[in-house]
Amino acid sequence: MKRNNLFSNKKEHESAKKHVSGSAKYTDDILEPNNLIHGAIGYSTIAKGKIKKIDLSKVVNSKGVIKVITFRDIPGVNDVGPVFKGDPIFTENNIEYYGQPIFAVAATTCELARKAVKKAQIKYIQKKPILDIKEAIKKKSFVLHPVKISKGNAINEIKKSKYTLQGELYSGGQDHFYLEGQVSLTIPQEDNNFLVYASTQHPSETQQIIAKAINQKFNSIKVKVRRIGGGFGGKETQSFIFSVISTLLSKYTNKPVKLRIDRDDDMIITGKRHDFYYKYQVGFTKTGNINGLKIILASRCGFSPDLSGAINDRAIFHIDNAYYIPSIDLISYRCKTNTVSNTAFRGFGGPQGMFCIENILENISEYLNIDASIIRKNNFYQKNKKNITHYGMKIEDNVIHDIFNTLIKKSNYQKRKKEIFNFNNKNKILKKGISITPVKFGISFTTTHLNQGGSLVHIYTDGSVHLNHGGIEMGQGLMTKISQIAANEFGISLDDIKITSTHTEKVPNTSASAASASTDLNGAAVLNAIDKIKKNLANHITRKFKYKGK
Amino acid sequence: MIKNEIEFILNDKLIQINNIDTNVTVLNYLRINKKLTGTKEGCASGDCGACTAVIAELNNNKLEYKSINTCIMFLYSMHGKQLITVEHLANSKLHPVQQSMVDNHGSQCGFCTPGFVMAMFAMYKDKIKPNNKNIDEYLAGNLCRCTGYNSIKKAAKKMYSYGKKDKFSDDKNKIIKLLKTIKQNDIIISKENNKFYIPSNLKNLIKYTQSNEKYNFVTGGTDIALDITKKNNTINSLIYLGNNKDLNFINVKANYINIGSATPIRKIIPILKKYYPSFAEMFYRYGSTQIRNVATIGGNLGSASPIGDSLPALLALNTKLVLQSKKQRIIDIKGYFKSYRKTALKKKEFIKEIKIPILKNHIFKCYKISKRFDDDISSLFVAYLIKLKKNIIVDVNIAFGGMDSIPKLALKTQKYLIGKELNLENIEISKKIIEKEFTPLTDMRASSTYRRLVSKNLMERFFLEINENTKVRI
Ligand SMILES: Cc1cc2nc3c(=O)[nH]c(=O)nc-3n(C[C@H](O)[C@H](O)[C@H](O)COP(=O)(O)OP(=O)(O)OC[C@H]3O[C@@H](n4cnc5c(N)ncnc54)[C@H](O)[C@@H]3O)c2cc1C
Ligand code: FES
Ligand code: FES
Repeated sequence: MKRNNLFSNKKEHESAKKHVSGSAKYTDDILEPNNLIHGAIGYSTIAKGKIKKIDLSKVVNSKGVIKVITFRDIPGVNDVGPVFKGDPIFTENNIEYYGQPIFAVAATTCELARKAVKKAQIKYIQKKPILDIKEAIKKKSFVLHPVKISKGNAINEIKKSKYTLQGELYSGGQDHFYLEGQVSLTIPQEDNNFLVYASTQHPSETQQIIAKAINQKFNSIKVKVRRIGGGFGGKETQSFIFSVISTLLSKYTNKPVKLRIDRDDDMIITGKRHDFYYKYQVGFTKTGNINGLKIILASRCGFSPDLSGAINDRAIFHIDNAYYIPSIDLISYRCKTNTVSNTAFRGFGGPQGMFCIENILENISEYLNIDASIIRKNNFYQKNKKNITHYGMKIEDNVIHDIFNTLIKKSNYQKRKKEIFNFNNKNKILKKGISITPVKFGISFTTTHLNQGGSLVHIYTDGSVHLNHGGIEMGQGLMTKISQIAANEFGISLDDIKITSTHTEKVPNTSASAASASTDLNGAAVLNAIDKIKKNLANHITRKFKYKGK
Repeated sequence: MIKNEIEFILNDKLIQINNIDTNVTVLNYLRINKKLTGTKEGCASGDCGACTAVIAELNNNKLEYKSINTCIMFLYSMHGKQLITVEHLANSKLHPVQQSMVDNHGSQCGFCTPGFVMAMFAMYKDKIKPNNKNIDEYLAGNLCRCTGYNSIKKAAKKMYSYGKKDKFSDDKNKIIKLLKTIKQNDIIISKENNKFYIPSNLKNLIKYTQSNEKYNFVTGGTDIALDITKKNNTINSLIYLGNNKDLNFINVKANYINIGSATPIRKIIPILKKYYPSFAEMFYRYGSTQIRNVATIGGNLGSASPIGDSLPALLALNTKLVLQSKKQRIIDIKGYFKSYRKTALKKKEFIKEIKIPILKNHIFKCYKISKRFDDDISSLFVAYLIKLKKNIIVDVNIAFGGMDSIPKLALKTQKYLIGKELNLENIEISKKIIEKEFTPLTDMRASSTYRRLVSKNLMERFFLEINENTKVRI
């Protein structure tokens, strides 16, 4: 195969044929061990309060039940919080949201486990929950400290501006609906070790959190993932609790345990996209150029921090989108509410930041009665000046002007706008609209040490290659791309490359597959490995054949 | 003779079953009992299509292919059918729809893919022209979170270019022959405390209904199966009406459209189109193709949910219901809905037939308002039936769903409108009456304020649509 051609040829997804014929295996499809038992989770049915009395005797005596566990059965750390603590596996007493896990059951079948869970008798002392963002701000209920950023004197700049606008905005949340729901299968091994098949974007942290929960060394837990049926951020941290519980149940029964969560329970127990409330004041010129922006960004984080710190940071880093904002006075509130802990979700706060500034520009456009595309253009970052963001980064390789102008032309924006105007004048009920919006999006982790990949590459004596790396295949075609990289670098056919799975035994201490960077990071790790192998091969061949070189 | 096992063809093998629990769904049977894990579970409530498989049924010596949601289909309702799963499509080569999906990059994470492939396969077997409208109709019951659908639609558009004949065309006669060997006896399955009855005709059905044990009817199962998959309940006795030929018909006689209560909605649409196009059009937004292939009006009436979509339409159309027990009685639908999910059906009685009058001089329109265009439950539903004489309203029915605990006529508004001229002024007044007449709930689908506002605005929409010929739809 000619080098680099591999990348320009259209290549089908490495599993496409298996996807379409139903032979691609997901966690729930793995051939089940004979003595497999099944788990189910019992959760709170109030949003805030305390458990007054809990009686699980009917659960214990329910048909097929083998084991019931609560927080008392966690030998190690009762927390799956990834960066910050605060996500108990089973709550001890405090209820912080509707759907908070309290106990789990293992039974002979999935159906019997789920039926058993329903028999719990739990009495609560209910308290008034905080549910929305404004209420949380008022009560200073936060999961993390507010963050402030300021540049220049925005208040003054707004005051001095010819025009000012102010307003409030709200962007809604969104439920994860990865088509494959949360699922985990734990198989006990020798020496109290556990092999866990998990549907997760983050096998390494799954491994670490399980180990901490059962008070064992990291090296006693193996986590293996071939592919997952979608993640989108919903399996970056939210999958941990299920793997921990399947492992706890397995530990106490010494049997393989599968914990597959019903879709409704999945939606009740796990986090979603952060909804945001914004309050702004903006000063601008007659051409719509922003002079200063005073802004409050507040998000509903739910009951615990989870990844809310980094998500809200990213919203801050995207509040400028593609626009130069000369002065800004920003405060970001990370609100604690008695709802599920909101989590990573496609864009990770970025869309929420962009949504806000785009709205502000639309409002300016309406106010000045100037087409929004012009207002946008007027505010774009420039190439040599006006190119420092509010967080101090210089925008390099700025191509927004070219892209925007090309799109305006290619899309016939002006002509269509006129047609729409005429249509709207003629039609009383039906109305049309048109808009063009830029996107500046930052890839890679803002916690910079997470920007690393890993790989393990083998060549067998028949020349076939086997490799593993730290990234998860979740539909983005990661395995296909990495195979292409490897085939290209070795100069061999794709058919000679095999990537089996992502496995903590093969590549340790990985980062989550997230932040739009898995191919770059792990692909580079594969390149590094191949480079070393090729050097070794070259050395060996030179020595063996006493090649002196030309 | 009563048999105690069902027979059906799983892919290409005739099999008999009687030792599996009667509450088991086709999906769980495939995945757990048969280890056929190509068919996926995404929701277990009929909403995502990941579990789609195809059934073939014999009709006039021809095979009819239908996509179904296996997650909410009872295993024992497979009797007499061929059940085709994704594993069976390919032989040495991929099936045309599979190859088209591969070549057009229709899969990303691949979890929705088997369901899409099967829904597309049903479309392929129906020889449906793959234009945008038809693709939407056939694939709206399948969700994909990864692709954004474009590549899947492209695959559907190109599927015939990979061959118009498949292995199922070749095996057709063999399957027909095999299906014919299955006898249409009555079947009673008994497993531990649970029973599943499959009466083969009306007479025997009536006989089983007279028993004193507590039982539930199941027809399409698209409502009642959720009791099991979502509420984790057990249903001890089920009487299956779906296979009952005497309840599966639609005809037009003596100014009535007569519909057997077990007739799938898919079969009703073409006839309804002729008489009440707006009703038929609404049915395209009733669930998905998978749902419409098996769901029935009988089941919709059986559930009697205040947001059952066919109910306000039937109410506005002065429909008659044939209720059957040992004896038969015909009632006006106005007396059917008693209170929240309570109906005029007596113990041991079931709905046999639905009779919709053909009113040639009336105008009929209905509107479904839901959060999503396809496959969603209504926030609000309204049906209008109106007769005008020189623009004076001489007859009017306005029936709402989602505005009260039962589907309900707006009696006060109707009373006001009778004898009035149909003009914007009177419509404006009628809006005020509607506002006073109903106190809708706030729930997860819509707020009370929203429902009120929409119920009023729809009045105006109806007026504009029939009167001014204003364009109100894209
Ligand atoms: C994904 C999905 C989408 C849906 N979309 C819609 C929608 O858009 N609009 C809508 O209105 N509904 C919708 N439904 C609800 C349901 O599909 C309909 O109510 C359907 O018409 C029920 O028919 P069935 O034959 O499947 O009923 P079944 O589930 O078989 O029965 C429903 C109830 O009626 C009883 N019953 C059935 N037949 C009879 C009979 N002949 N006599 C007396 N009782 C009987 C049963 O005992 C049961 O209690 C949807 C459901 C799902 C799962
Ligand atoms: S699993 Fe979603 S429709 Fe059946
Ligand atoms: S390919 Fe992932 S959900 Fe469709």
